[in-house]
Amino acid sequence: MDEAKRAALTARLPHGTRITGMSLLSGGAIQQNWALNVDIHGQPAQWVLRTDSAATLTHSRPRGEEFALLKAAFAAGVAVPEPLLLCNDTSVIGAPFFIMRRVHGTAAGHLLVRSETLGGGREAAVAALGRELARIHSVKTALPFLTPHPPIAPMLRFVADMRAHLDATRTPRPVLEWGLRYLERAAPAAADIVLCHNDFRTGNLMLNAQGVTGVLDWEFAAFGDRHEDLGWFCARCWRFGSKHEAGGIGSRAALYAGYTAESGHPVDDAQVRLWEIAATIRWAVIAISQAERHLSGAEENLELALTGHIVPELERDILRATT
Amino acid sequence: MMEECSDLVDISGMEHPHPPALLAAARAALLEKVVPALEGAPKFQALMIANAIAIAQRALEGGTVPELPHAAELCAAIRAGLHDDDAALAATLAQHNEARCRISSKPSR
Repeated sequence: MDEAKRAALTARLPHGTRITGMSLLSGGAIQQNWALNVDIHGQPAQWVLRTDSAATLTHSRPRGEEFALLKAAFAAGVAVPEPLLLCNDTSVIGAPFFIMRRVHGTAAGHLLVRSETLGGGREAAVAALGRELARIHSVKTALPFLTPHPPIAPMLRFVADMRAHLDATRTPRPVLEWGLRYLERAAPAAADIVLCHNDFRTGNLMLNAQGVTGVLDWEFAAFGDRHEDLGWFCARCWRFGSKHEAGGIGSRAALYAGYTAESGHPVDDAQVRLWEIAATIRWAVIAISQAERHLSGAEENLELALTGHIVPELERDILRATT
Repeated sequence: MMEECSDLVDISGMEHPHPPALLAAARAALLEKVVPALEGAPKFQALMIANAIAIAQRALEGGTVPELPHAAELCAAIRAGLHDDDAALAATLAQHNEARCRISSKPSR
């Protein structure tokens, strides 16, 4: 960020705030995160500035909506970085941005699943994550940009969405169709509708030695069945090779107990396992679309290309869970 | 982009070391001589390259994996409920999937 942008940014910060340091934390194709060290009337503070990358090609959730989701989650007591300031004026740094407090901890999946101590130990960590999920599901703030859930069982809606995606791809996928038909037949007639995070899984969750410090990446939040998030978290494809069934970190029993203690809602294990099949199908559909971005020439990239090759293993998980 | 391969690759007349062995040597050199000198994003790229070489090597060594016959029609029939509880189809899908996994997945599982 050049001097002119930094000066324009400083002018937007609360009076008496001085930027003492600024560095790019992560620059994805869609968003950029900047570590921002500031001095507010002599008091140092650590912030993160989140903005769009210069070339935003995808229809990512606008920064303003992400900010509103963080505010709602923070108000509900979810461990998210406290959102501080939103600026939709593109004349400041060239794109809308928001600022949140910086949180510290470990989010990398392969490190989390190997640690016996992060989050206070495996069982304490998944119990705390269960409580976080319960708080997310308790959010009642009106978020007008979220589409209301249609009057159909969430699992049937999921099946219809995935079939629409598969119909738009080049390769027939009999195993995914087999899994979707299984879910269609097993789907409960109705479910409570709650705010779901929809990407609550190891890799998007930051922990330190004491507990959960940040639930990250609210891009996919939407209304759905509470078991949907629990299934996404427990699905084998998000365990990073670990034997621990709750996110590769701890036991299902501890996760469910934490969830129930905070929400008052018992967890229906059979529903979680159905949503794990759904999670595996969803991840396969995403992987197919990532590989397609490479195959079509839209974005030639080895990581996207290799992601396609995880599909057979996901299909194996689906077959094992449905036969 | 060149995507199609012949179903059966006969390499016996090619010069030695045969290409699968050459890929194995290239992968070993990458992992043993290059990766240890790298960190961060370049290391991640190099490990992905090693992974891609391994998949290509297994494909050259591992025989053929044809598409299931009439896959599109099969998909429509499954969706229409014509194969509910069809154990024979499940077995066929599992067998085909194992062949796909032998190429795409690490052999450890």
